[in-house]
Amino acid sequence: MNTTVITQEDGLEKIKEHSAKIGEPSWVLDQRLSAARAMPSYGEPVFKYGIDIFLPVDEFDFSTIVPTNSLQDRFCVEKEGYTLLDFWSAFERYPGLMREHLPFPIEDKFLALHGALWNKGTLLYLKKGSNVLLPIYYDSFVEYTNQFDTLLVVAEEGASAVIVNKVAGGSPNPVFRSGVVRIVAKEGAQLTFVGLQQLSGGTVNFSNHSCQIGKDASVVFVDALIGSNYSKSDTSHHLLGEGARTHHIGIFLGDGKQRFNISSAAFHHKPFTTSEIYGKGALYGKAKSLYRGLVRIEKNAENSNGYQKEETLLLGDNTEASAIPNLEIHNNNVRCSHGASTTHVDQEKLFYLASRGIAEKDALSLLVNGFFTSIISKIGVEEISSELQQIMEEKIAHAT
Amino acid sequence: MKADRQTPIVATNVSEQNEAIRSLEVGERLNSVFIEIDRSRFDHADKIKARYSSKQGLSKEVVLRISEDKHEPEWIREKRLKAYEYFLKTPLPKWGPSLEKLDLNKIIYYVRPDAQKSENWDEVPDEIKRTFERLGIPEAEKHSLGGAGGQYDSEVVYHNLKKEWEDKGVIFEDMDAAVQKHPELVRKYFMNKCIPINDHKFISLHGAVWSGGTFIYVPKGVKVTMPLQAYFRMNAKRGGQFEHTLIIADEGSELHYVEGCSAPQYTSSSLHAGCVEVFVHKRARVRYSSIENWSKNTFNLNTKRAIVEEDGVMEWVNGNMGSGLTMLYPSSILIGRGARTDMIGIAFAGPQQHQDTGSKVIHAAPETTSVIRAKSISKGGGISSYRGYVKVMPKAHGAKTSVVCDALLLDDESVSNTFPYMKIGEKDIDVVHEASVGKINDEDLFYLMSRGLSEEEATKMIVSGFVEPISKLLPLEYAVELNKLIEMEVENSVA
Repeated sequence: MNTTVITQEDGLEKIKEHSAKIGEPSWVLDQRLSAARAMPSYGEPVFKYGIDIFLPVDEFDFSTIVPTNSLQDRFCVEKEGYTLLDFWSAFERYPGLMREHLPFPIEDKFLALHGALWNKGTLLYLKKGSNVLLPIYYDSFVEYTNQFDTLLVVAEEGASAVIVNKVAGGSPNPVFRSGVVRIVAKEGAQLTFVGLQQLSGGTVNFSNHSCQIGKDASVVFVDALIGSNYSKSDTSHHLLGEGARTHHIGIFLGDGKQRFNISSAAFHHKPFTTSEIYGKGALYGKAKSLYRGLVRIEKNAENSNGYQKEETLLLGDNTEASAIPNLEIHNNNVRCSHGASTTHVDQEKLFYLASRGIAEKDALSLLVNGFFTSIISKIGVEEISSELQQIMEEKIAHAT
Repeated sequence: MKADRQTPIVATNVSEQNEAIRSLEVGERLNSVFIEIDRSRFDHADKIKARYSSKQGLSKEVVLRISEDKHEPEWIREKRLKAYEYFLKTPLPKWGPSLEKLDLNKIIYYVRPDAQKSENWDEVPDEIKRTFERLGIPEAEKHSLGGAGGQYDSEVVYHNLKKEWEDKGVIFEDMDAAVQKHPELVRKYFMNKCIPINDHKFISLHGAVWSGGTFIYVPKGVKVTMPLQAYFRMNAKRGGQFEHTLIIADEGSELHYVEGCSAPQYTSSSLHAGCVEVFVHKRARVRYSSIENWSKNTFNLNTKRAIVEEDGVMEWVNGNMGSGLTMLYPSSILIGRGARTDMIGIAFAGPQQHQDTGSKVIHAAPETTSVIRAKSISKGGGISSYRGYVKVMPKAHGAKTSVVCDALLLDDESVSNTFPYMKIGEKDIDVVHEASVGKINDEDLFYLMSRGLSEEEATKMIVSGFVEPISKLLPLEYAVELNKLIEMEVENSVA
């Protein structure tokens, strides 16, 4: 990955120029520059995750990633209980809040790149005690060749809402998109976040999601990956207060030469915390997937429960699925278990359906749809479940 | 720690002690061996005079010296030198537990004890006998459990094989002798197909300095009904143990081989980098059981691998009790249709111990099956990790694999990790992995205590139940020893 274009002086100059054009506060520019300067200290990205398990990005030239001159339109939506606005407006309106949450921690080269070059930013601010009844839709439309969008959700104490983030657009030609989502659920907040990725075929998508879950707060996080060429999607749940709960639902459906590189992790930092991670995916054609899971229970997080389950259904002759579900347990007074399985479609079930007069292709679609039904129903919001179901049925019917 | 010659249990006259043991009832006999087992007994160094000890560290001279001493053929010497070159250029593994404390320059790579190989127990020197007595070796011999070979330092000093097996063509030799007596077999199988000398750094090291070990060949169709066993032990200070085990089970044969280890405690780190190669030919069946109980300052970096052909079965039974750091991942490569492997392992990590163990299976042929069951117990701040790898190659259709890990944490200082890796390149397969971590159920404890057991007894009983699937696969003596060792470890933890 060639990043000299960014770290060299003219790269930094471009960042400064762009920042000035938008009229950002100087502390934002400082954060961009320090992220850019930090880039060389992170090693080259290796897509290797253990003996013989690797999933590199083919056919993409990372050196095409350069600072852009694109400008996001300003917007501000105010509804009862919440405000949805772009970052630059938020710097003016909620300067304290923005300074508290920016910059996001940098863990690898791609996050450093994101920190330096982000060109879209949205804040969803849920007021204390607000109970937003209708789902809040926010679409991340990929329109630039190198898009770096950020979504920050801050839910004040006792707030509750359902947020749907559709990620679509992109291009059939190779483009790069980096998406960062940060969710902060304060005491007693209840959030359902549905990320639905339907990017066009050429898009290389790197997303990083992190949830900070406070005392007695609960988060349902859905990460549904349908589109893109290569999708690296990392989600980490930090259970930071007693009684915090998280429920992760990961779904992937790939065909052709799609690649999914998924990681979902739960970190139990406090006692009486609960995490449940479910993952289900199906692969057609030459699609490949890598699923990494982690439940880590820290030393003082007694009475915590961790559960993780991942299932992959292989449907193509040249598919490949890897799974690495890890457990790291540092306390004995806990319950923790995980399971991972890789299966194929049961010939007997196909035969049964065929004997009832259903054509093989339709029978297969039925079985694959059925495979996903249980996990989709876990989302718990009827209209979103049925919407997702429809999208998946559509893809399953045409999968090759 | 110095040799304690006053220990009353150890009779100075071996025949006297043997006499005494013979007169006891079976239960008492086992007791007399196992009841007194404690770590200090194992961690005790005999004052044995090594005839030749190489200096600390490894050099070309040491490698040549080993080869010369053993009057090895040219090709083995070449292999050693080549392995030494690989050792120099291969870096330490970057994954897994830290090997920082292992100073490869402080290890003595070759020690030759002042003992000749012996078929007759009376000819074995007293000091060595005493060590074996404590480990129960003569017991095993008396129980007629097949031949017994013990490795003392780097050389086999005692080796015996029941006549009946010899007559059927079974070869049970120490590795050094096999090189001389069966050169064609050794040359065909030794460190080429199964574990090549450039596999990883510690195998290259092993390839350069290996010494002793066991060679077994079971001819076509021969079923060895008694378990064959050998006891390995490290002794000389800073001694490395680089024994090589090569097992060849020809078509349709059967074998159960048992190996056990215990090492004395020393102040500087010891290294065990052994190598086990198993060839399971068509329709053959091999079970390899080992209880490794090295002293706690030992780095146990062992490599075990089997190649399993059509309809062959390879069973690995592993118990890892001792050593400071264990990195051991028995592997099976299933290359023939219908091949199967069962792996069952137990790891116990006590204070300052890090057990990093697991299983590796490569399904390279259709309709192959693997079943992995791993159990671990951590206490007193010990860390136990399961690190496993299952790969199903494209075209290995109908492969089935199941991995189940259970971990028991006995206190809140200890750590349990599970790192399974699964790579599946074929759609027509079934892969399952499950793991769970927990503590002893309070209700179970309460129930047993309501029946009049003390908390300690109840805990021991539950832990024994937890390891039962492994201990029941071992021959009696080993099962008793395993249970006793685990009970003792648990005793210490329930204060």
